[in-house]
Amino acid sequence: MQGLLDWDYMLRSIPRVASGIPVSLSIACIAFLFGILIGFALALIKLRKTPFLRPIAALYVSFTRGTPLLVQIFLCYYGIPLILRYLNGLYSWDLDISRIPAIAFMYVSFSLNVGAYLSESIRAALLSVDKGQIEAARSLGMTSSQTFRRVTLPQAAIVAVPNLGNTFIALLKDSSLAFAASVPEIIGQAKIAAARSSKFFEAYIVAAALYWIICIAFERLLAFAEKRLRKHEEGILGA
Amino acid sequence: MPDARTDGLPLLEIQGLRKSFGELEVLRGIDLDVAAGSVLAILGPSGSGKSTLLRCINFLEAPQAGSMRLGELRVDCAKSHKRDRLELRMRTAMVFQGFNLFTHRTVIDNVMEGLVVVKRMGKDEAEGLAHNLLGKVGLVDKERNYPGQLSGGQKQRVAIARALAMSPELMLFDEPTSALDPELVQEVLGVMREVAGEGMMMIVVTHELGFAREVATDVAFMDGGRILERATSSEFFENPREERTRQFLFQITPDYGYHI
Repeated sequence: MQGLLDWDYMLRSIPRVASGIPVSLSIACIAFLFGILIGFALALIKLRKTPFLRPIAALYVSFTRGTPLLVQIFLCYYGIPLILRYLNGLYSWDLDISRIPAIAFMYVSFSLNVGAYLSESIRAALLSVDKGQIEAARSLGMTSSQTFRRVTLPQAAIVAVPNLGNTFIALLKDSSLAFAASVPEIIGQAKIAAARSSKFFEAYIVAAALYWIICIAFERLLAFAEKRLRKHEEGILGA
Repeated sequence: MPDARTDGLPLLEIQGLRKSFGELEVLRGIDLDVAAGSVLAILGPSGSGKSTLLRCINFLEAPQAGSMRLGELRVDCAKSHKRDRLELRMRTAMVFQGFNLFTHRTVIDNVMEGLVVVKRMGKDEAEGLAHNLLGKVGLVDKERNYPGQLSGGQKQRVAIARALAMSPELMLFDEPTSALDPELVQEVLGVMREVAGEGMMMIVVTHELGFAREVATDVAFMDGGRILERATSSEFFENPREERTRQFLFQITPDYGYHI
């Protein structure tokens, strides 16, 4: 009698599915890095009430939060080549759009998406810094940029770490949507493996297990980082 | 550089200082001279503008009108340059009611911060100076602790060391003992007494009448955004001129009447 699962097949398919890990991680890491930059810029625009840029930033955040990520992926995947082709014609650049790899569009769409979500976390973290400490820094004669770098930013970073970490883990899982644009990340590889063997259930169990292991590893790392960063609060918590 | 302490002029001179928050006029034209080496206590009921005046001197609040002179540095409040405001802040130092220590930095790093970032002093030199100042306020053994591990009195002493590190010409104290438990007040006042004894020019907004009487050389009494009475400390407490001052002193020290 055949078992519920083909264990042997699952073991054999691990290397194949795991070969998507670097792609998944690269989407998550690159999008996270640019997302922080975008989110930071958006947070500053909102906090400083920059004229002209503020309504644009608000529109962008509203659109990103109000539409599914999958739709945003498709918009980038199909839209960016069209826009580039148009610009190509307009300025007679010599750009070969067909040679841009699909993953480049994933970097763009995931960065834009995560940037919008991070902007609120970063803004809240910046606002959480004690005004009194900012005044103390100013009263020592620090310029506003020195105060920002030496007092506001380090403390906001500590506050933001748990939120940033959770966003990263969510982003890592969301990167699975890149399969829709035929990017060979973990799910993409599982699909390819399963299409040949028709063992879809097994292939996706392997993919799920890989995601789970990676996420647990990052959660551990995050908890460790948080503990290190909050060293200065030991006295308060211990009292 | 001319030595402002010896030229006979008051070191700090404030003229016609005005500050409003929206419709609310908090300072209605303040004129104030403070001589080098003197300790001025500012007394007055809450809402009288004492703290705002102190914060204006440090440009933590921007006054709308008036002028200030500290030594040879003149600032026209209505059109002050960023350079002048930074200069004024560098030459004054503020101690806050809520301590406002940098909670993510150790005690010694708090004291070194202004030296390294603003005065561009080398790390070793700054550390030596910070170490000495922490010795002066009696906290050498807490150097490597974080502010969260200190009592309120200890935090305020670190804040005083941080202010002293900038070798200011004028120190501003904004109700430095108001947030402290009663048994911790004396250790902070003790440090302030010592600093005053070394000839530091100080302006202290306080409710500690005992301290004002004993340490302050001068007293200014504020009410409703104006300075109502300005006198030497002994004159002020023994023979207040204004009826409003007498009322105030009577209110906060019920046995005050017996001294007259």
